[in-house]
Amino acid sequence: MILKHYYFRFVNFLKGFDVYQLLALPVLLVVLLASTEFKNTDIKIGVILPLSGANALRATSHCNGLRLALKHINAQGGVNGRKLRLEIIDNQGSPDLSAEIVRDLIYETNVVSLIGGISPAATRVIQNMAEKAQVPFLTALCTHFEVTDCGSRFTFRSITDDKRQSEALAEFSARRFKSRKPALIYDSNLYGADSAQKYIETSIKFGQQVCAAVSYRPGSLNFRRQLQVIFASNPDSMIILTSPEDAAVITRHAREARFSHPILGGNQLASPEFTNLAGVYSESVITTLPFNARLGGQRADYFLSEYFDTYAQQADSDSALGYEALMLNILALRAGEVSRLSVRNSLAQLHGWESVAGSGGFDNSGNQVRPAEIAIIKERQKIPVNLEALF
Amino acid sequence: MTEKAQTNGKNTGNAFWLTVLLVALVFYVINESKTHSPPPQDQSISQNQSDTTAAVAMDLAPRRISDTRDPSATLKVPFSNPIKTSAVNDLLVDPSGTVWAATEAGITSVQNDKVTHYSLVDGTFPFPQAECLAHDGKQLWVGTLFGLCQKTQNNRFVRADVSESLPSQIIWDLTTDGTTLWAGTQKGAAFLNKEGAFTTIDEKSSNSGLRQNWCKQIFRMGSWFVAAHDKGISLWNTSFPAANPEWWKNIDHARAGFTRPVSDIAFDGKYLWLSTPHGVLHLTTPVDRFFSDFVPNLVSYSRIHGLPADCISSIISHKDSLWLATEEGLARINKELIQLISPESGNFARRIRKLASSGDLLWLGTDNGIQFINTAMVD
Repeated sequence: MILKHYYFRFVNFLKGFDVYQLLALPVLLVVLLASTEFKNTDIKIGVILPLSGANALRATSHCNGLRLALKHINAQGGVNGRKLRLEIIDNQGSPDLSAEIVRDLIYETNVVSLIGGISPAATRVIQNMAEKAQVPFLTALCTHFEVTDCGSRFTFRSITDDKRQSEALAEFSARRFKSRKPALIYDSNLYGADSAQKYIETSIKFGQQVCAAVSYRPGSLNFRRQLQVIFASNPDSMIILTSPEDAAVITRHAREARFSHPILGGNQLASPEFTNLAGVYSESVITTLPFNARLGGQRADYFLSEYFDTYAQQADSDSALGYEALMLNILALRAGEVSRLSVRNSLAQLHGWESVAGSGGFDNSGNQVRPAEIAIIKERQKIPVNLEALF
Repeated sequence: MTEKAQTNGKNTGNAFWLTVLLVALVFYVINESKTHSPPPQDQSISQNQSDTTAAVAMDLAPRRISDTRDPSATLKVPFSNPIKTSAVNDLLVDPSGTVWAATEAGITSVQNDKVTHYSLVDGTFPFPQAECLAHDGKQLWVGTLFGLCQKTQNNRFVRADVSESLPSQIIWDLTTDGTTLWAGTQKGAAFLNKEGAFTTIDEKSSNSGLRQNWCKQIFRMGSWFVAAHDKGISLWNTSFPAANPEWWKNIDHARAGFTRPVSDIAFDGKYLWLSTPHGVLHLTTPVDRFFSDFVPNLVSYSRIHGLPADCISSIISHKDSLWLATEEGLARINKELIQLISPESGNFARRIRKLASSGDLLWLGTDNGIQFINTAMVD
């Protein structure tokens, strides 16, 4: 009864208008909504990571860092009043799948920028597509030197690359251990093969002559034959350039064969998987350190405590670099318009910043200028060598 | 009196609502025009005539490739007015003389002075971008990151049915050898067979003759098929089955020491040339000796040899010269001399992405448009 009453009142109210008035209002409404793109007010950033398959643990940790940064940004009101949204998609580590995902993110989702990539093969596909479509792309995990050394304009890297890591490892082994005859063992993937090539080039500067460089196919479980070749050349140190899992097995085999000289490696050896799998054999291994919380000061302390509160686990380097990557995008977004070119230009001008990972900056080719830090593994902890005396 | 006042009031009300409707429509039209840039249908692309008549190339001092001391060997020539487009991915001049550009927004054609844009936004192109172009003598093919398109006889672009038989819908490059269409895709190369379907050539079917499937650049010359991928260069003698790796030659990027990606491939009638982010590479084995004594030796030319920049985005063989598109402008290699080409007049977008030639004209596809120069003026 009451409904009927209101219905008749509403009909009588409408009768007070003529057809022009009744038509104009919905048209005006539709036009206003279409013009302001009310549906798409969120700023979208595409994230492509191998959340399943090899590298899934690292990718998940990185993603957690990104999500924490997203939570902090949106809690502060987003970017100029607009909320930020991450379009996170699993590429399963496949370059071909990465190509399809990036294509869809660029041309259909219309993301303003891209973050991601771990393996060089997948990262290079993402980069090629981003460069062509002029979409800014930031990788915080891929260290392959060619990613920012190929005339790119829209590609940025916030992690220290393999070239700087090789320099740091060669310099440290030459000075600390007087190593002159290092041997290399590496996988035949892009990461291993190209990193080995870079190390061979770099080590000459520090008076080293690589005495053996032995590769193997990924998936191998037994490295004794490769190690025999290395031991026959009588090296005074060994550099391992491969995944944390393979590096752990190689380290075990080498130590079991009583190889007593220093074992060194890049960022891969700083991951928790390496120390977990290598166990006691990881003791005294030298690695580069992608994240040192002491350099980040109060920012790092805040990040670490927030991360623990959110995920009930300790943050690692991959999560810290994820947090830093999104914050860099936010800096770029806040510096100008919300457009791909504006974000690219702002990122290109970020020659210095302070973040959870300490001071950083991009050089003219978009590569991180932060020097590689060296750490020694003691009781499964990565201790920066400049603080070694304290432990 | 009351009735008249009521009528007046009603008329005023109608006028008000009509005005609101009109304002809304105007607002909508303005907003739409901002969102989608208007197609410049009748842009003039002619060169400035006064410049053309005075277009004597100022050849100051061309330098030899080996000579790095001479800083100025610049030729000044007039450039045409740019036609505004999205970033150009590929350029092609078809047999009728129409220039086609594959851009990040679709397709642009230039026929005489008439410019036409085809895009997804206005419903004249099926995909949001176009990557590469090829003309097999009968029709225009467009490769996109979403599949293969063809231009129909009634000037419409439609998705080609044969696209389904490609190994991947992500098409990076197209080429023809006069009769057969070849495609370089994310998952291998392919050619259009006589049955009207693509035959795939990938790592597996070639027994690792093709070293990697991501064929970013492909090229045909004589009986050879060239694919540039993320592991280097693979060359196949098409007179023999692709499945036999003996008929493949490979240049590994790490062993040869060149930087990827290879952005373009050119053939000067005797030698193969590659453009890369770190200069241009010259394969020293002549193509006619690939079969007998192939040596994967590459000679590199870059900024230290006089090129305007290291990063070379396109290379083309045109009128006994090699023309190079760099991020700092145009350059020419002619009889071992490097000459930089700079504009005597007209706007010039330094960042050139693609080159194409037709007669005396050299077409340049840039970050934001298409231009040309008359190469007859350079000589």
